[in-house]
Amino acid sequence: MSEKIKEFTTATVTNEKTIELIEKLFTVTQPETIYGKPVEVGDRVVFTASEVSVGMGVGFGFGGVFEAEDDSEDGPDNAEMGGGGGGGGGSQGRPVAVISVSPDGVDVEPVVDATKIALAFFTMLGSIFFMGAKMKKESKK
Amino acid sequence: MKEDSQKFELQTKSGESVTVGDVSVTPRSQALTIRWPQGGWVWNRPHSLIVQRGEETEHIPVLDITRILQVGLYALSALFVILSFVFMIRKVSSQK
Repeated sequence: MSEKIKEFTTATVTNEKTIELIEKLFTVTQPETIYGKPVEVGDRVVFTASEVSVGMGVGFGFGGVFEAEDDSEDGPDNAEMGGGGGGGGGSQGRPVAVISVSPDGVDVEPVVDATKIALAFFTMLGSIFFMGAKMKKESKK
Repeated sequence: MKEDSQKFELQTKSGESVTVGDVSVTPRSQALTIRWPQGGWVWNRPHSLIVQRGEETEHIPVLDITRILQVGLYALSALFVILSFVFMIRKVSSQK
């Protein structure tokens, strides 16, 4: 088999493996992904609850020109073939709550991300000051 | 990728139960899945807890306080910007 045909076959196998990898991405939908392993603390059992998001995308392209007829088993040697591909992905996780189970009942303790809330708060303050100043300027006209 | 797979899917699944004494807790998760031919995106979040004590069953929601506050504050910002624009448009049209 010519080198170019080999390259094409390798690329096709890589593409199939990538699709298998994408299928594995969807195992994230299982509850075990976001609920931590229970830990015994005295007479209580504690476990965490988190939020997870995962994304991935790939793209491939192939093309080629066979200029001469070649019936040999090796295929055409003067074939012009090319291909390329790329991909990207990302994931993030964040704790949401700590769950404590005791013989008396269940406690759900929320985990608060102060940085995210502070950022949202300052964004709100910024928009209020900016629009307030603009309104003041308009009312003076 | 499976051809019969749905593009958008919202699933609620139950995890393994945790039992302490006569209290049994089953965590539930909610996953939003978006698929496209060469990729996908999955968002999985804790949904609720099913607490069983004897014959009593209770559903306790797992609230994401950070997300609720964040969305609330951003919604307030957006509302203020919209109201300001409405005020300014009215002001301009009343001056004409």
